[in-house]
Amino acid sequence: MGSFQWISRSLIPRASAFLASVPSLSGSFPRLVHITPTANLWQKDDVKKAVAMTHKLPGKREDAKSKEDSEDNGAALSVYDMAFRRAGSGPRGRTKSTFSQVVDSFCEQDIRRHGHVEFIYAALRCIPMFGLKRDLSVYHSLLKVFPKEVFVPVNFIQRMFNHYARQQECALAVLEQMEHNGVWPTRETKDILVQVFGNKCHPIKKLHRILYWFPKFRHANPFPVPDPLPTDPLAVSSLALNRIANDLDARVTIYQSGSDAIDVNEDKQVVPHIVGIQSPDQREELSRHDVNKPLYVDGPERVWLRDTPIAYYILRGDVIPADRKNEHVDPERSLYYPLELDLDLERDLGDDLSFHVEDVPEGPVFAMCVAGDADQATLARWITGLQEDNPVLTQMPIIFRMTEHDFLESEQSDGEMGQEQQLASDQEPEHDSKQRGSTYSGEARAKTCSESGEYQLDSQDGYAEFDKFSGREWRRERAKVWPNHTSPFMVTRVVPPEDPICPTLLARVACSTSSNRDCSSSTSSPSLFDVQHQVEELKIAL
Amino acid sequence: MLLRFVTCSCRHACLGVSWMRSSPWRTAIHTQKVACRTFSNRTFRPMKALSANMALLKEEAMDKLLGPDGIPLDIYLLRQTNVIWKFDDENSLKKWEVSTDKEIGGKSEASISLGKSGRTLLFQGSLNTEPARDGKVRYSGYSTLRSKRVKGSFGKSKHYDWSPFNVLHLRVRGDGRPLMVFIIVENFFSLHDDDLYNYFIYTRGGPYWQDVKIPFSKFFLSSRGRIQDAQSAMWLDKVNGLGITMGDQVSGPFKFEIDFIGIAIDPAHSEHFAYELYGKAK
Repeated sequence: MGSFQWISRSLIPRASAFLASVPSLSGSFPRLVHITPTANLWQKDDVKKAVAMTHKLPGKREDAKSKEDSEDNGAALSVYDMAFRRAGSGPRGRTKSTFSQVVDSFCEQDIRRHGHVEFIYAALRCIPMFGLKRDLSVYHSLLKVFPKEVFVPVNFIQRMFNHYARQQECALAVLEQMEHNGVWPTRETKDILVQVFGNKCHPIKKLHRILYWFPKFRHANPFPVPDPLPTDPLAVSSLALNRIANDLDARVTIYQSGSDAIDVNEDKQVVPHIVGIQSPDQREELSRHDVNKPLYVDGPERVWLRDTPIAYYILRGDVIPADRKNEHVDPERSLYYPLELDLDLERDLGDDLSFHVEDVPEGPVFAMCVAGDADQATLARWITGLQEDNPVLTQMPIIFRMTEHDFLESEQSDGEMGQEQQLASDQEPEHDSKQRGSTYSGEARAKTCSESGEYQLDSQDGYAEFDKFSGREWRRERAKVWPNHTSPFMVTRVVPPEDPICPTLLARVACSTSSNRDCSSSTSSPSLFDVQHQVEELKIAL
Repeated sequence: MLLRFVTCSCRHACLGVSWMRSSPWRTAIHTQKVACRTFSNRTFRPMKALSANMALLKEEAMDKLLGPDGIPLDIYLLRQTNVIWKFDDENSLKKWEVSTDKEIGGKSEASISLGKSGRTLLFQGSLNTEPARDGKVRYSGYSTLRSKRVKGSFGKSKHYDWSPFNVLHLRVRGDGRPLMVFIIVENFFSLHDDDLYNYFIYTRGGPYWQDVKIPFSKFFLSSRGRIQDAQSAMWLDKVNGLGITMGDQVSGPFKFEIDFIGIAIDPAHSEHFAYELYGKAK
């Protein structure tokens, strides 16, 4: 085996020596001698030899030349060319065409494809940078860089040993990168490999392994994500919500379809999208919720759709102690002849049957949403939209418990409930009209909070102050659940009719909640802001 | 009676014995669960270690009298489910260890803690798929949670016997990212030290829990990260442990919460091994 490795190893310096002696063959394409971290089999003495040969070649790039100038000893490992980087930084950028142009120019320059193994390793590293890692034709073009029929073993001894080991290793790296990125090989892949290495070689074996295992796990995921993901944020949001809701009855509602910058009073405003989901069960559960107890908007939490993180928010209640869970007794049920026959044959001694997946330890979930902005005003608009289907929400205080960490950063383990804030939207209509132009901006948020000064509390007596209008002992339970929070927070109720965003929706809410405001007036005389925020209220059942 | 006598006599008679400080003793005793508690201030206390081991030995012997694994025989034979790991307190976290690709020069981070309710294990961190620039590593980005080996008294190796069961049952809550669960079984040859039996856990994400049931027949054999051509079903009579790997090639934070890990008998599942057992192509 050693002798054959010697053959394959010694061929490269020989080839380069040959090329160096024939200047017409070397061409203008730079010699690509990469000291690649990926090339495991790369022998150091080969590097030195090959580099020593190519170092003297004409037609080097400027950067190589400058490097040569700086290190004037010719034996240094210095000659390489950033062909892909140069192509990518050109005017056409990192596209498939620039990538394949580099590959083509490499193939055209030298009929013997000198240095093709190093070229392929370098190209493999550049594929993700060009955004082509899921592109089969790119991998094919790299496999086509191998010269055909040269590496095919012709007798049994060659076949017995690892014929052209470095080249086979390189082709394995290509296949492995395909496998790594979930690219399925095709018949064409096999054809290329057979032409290059013959029909019994390591790359063909690897191909067979890929084709054996890939189909086995192709449909293993019970929660599949479309590939590629849709680009529309509304579609992605509803995908994420349908996935996490785990309820076929749940309906996705688009409370606000986002838009780009809208010119409002010479202020550029971006309207974030709000997509929510709620199931009939959750609605029913919410309607039974005690109106004197607050609800919480928690978030943002993260859900991943393959490589895309989506932030979602949860409307939830307090943890219900087990002894306070009210049992719903069927009124027709006879106490003497129970209508239920509880024969759970799977029950066993060690089983804990009190658990239910929807009994999450943080408290019951009533609705979820994905919003384009982690803004309280945005989420308040979601609550406003929810009030249409859940009139009981108008009577409940809502507490916003936003985590303030950067969404894409990793979370701290205990800082989840760090910042607790509450929305101040229990304002007079005059306040609203004053702030309409800039409800979304950060300053406006701060202003909103400061204007509701009577509810602005600090952490010490915050609960007591809140009791002024909620008046229940839930605060103590809450302090028990999240004892660590120390940040100041603000309190108000979310009252629907003052939200300027969705006039038609609000009018309906106002009517349905039998408020004494005039529905027609609020819809017939919308402000400029209202007109421009014509938010379509779509309901799609997915 | 005899056990009690031995324990007592050792405690008084063997004080300051120098051979106790020799390294086989230290390594053997260091690794085990009970003795570890006595090593809290990093000084080796042979008497404490010995008494702890003797107590463990006694416990084992008494368990034997009670039944297999300390469970009365009728319950042992008839049980359909068995919760192997649950997370009630900080001590339950000590049975687990976390490792990331920092071992091979990567940049992923991970940690375990108790969940907010105090009754779950929260495995969270951040993956980084950037490989180390050492010229060898080509792909990186994993974090692994694996159970520590269970040791009996005096460093005896202990195994789980899962052979009556055919389904692995986990109650988890993820963030939508898939994970891999692997089981380590006892092997005879050191060549097989890196053998793992793997399958995937696909998480849904969101606030709700998720019951994951994976038949043992679905687990496929891998060694050093490569699926093996010659597959075989797992031998469940000597299971050394279980682990969970997060490595879905996506850089970013992850979060995975486990309520319990158990095993169960699914009478409807009769498959022995899900993959072909014929030999590879010559």
